[in-house]
Amino acid sequence: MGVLSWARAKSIWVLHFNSGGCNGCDIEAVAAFTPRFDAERFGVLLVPSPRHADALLVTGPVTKQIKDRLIRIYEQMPEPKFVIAFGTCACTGGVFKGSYSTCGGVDKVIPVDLYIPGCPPKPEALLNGIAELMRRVRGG
Amino acid sequence: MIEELISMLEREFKERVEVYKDRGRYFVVVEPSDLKRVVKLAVERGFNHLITISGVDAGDHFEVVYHLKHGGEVLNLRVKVDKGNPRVPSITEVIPGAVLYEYEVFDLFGVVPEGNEPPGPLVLPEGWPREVHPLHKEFKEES
Repeated sequence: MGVLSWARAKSIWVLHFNSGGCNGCDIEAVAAFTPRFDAERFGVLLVPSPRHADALLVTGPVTKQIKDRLIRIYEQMPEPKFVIAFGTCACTGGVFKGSYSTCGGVDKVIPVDLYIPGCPPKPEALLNGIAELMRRVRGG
Repeated sequence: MIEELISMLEREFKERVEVYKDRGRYFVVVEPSDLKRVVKLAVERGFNHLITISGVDAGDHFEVVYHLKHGGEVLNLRVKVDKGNPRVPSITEVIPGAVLYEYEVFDLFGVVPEGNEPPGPLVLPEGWPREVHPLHKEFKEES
């Protein structure tokens, strides 16, 4: 494990993006950053700009309206970058699958590294996902 | 209250309106050319809350249904629209708040509100082809 990946694993900065979800996943995702679950103890924090982010936390099924914006935000993130699909909608399209106005999951639009299913997933599931991501960044 | 209005509509429009009751709600089938006058009469008698405008693909024709409310009573005006040339008169002169509902019915069913033609998509994503309407029965999602 190099010093770079060691540093990276301890400071995964996250940009949260709702691509057309119902807000349920967003509430749970934000709860993971509150003192009760405290994702910040792993060096994970929410950032307001894609240019500062290491990971993109996407909720929602990706509507056709927001597809181009999501791609644009993804392209603005510096390498190395990771995409977390948070919630069933983001993983597969969920109840919106087959709808005329959604793409049916984040992986139809941008490459996804981590899938966290659930409707909505618990904050613990996000912590588990972050732990997995840290393991991958460390290269183990 | 609603009975008064219904009997007045029957007196005024005779066989051009068809009234029936379904699960406690009154439905009035109206000719497109009479729509504005019927809505105006209803609004004048207190049915001034337009709940929404819905569209129906009934197979051989479309239907546009106007749901008007007064107190606890709901008046539903049904207008049959030809599929070849789907147009209804706009009711925005009587109820200005109908603008967005009419745009939505155009987006999803392609029924043009005459006098309130939509400038662009309202509920459909940007770049959606103007002649494709997703709530038609023959609409198929390509993916």
